Amino acid sequence: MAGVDNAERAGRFLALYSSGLLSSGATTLRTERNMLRMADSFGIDVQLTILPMHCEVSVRKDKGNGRLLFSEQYSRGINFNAITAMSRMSWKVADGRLTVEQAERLLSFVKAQSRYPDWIVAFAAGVANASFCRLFCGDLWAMAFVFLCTVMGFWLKRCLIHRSVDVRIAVILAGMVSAITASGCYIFSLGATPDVAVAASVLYLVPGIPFINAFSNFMHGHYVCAAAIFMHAIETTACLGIGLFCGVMILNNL
Amino acid sequence: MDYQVLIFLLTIVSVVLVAVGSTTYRKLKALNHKHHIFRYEDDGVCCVDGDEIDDE
Repeated sequence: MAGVDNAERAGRFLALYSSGLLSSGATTLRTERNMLRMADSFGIDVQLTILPMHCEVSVRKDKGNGRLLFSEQYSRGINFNAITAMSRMSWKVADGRLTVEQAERLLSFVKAQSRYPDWIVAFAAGVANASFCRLFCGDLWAMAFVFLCTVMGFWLKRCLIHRSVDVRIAVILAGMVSAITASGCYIFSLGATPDVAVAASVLYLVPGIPFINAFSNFMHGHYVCAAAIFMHAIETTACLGIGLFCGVMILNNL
Repeated sequence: MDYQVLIFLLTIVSVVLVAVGSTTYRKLKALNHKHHIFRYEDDGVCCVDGDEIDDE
């Protein structure tokens, strides 16, 4: 490997890369592997410390003085497109097809890429949740109400988060709205499985990826990150439970 | 009207109002912001909307 002349610049790129990858929802294992792959190509020694809110990258070249670089993780939600693009980039760097400068430009480009439009995500989440309802033996009426409640709850959550409302409050309100809307099967006596509709109405709020990442981090010895992500996932799950409870209580008490 | 039906309808109407209001607000806000295009030429000169400026 030819390596790089400016180890600090390469280290700064790796710090930004690792925080970008983790912020997009990648596991610590993938982040470590990708980063070490690129560091090997750059010809630098790298030690990565991943913490819940930021990354520390220690860079050293040819047994010279080391530099410690920090990068903060930003919260932009899970983005699999960005994870795929950044992973491909790491292979290109490892193959020597990208220099540090080119990789920096590509990383900025990947980070600036917009996500899918909200209405497509809301529609897809609705279809996915209605399919869950069908898996739990819900009938067509239940599926229709689950689709409706998912789209409404998802859209409400997005609107509230865009208006800088606390995520936990947004999840509680979205869960409550979804539970009330899914209760339409009960209220209008439509279909034979209204209970399945109510049970499936808040499934789209379950933080599946944080739970999986927490388990993966735990299995690979990143206990601090695993505990932090697990607590965050538990918090979200508790909020959706509170929302579902409030929705059912409002309808039952009236 | 049954209270449960009322709550159901109120929920749907309020969510639709929030969604429409929020989307309209964001679109109107975006319309009020003129987008400036900043670009550095090859010789290092900074241009805004095609006009050269002194970026010092």
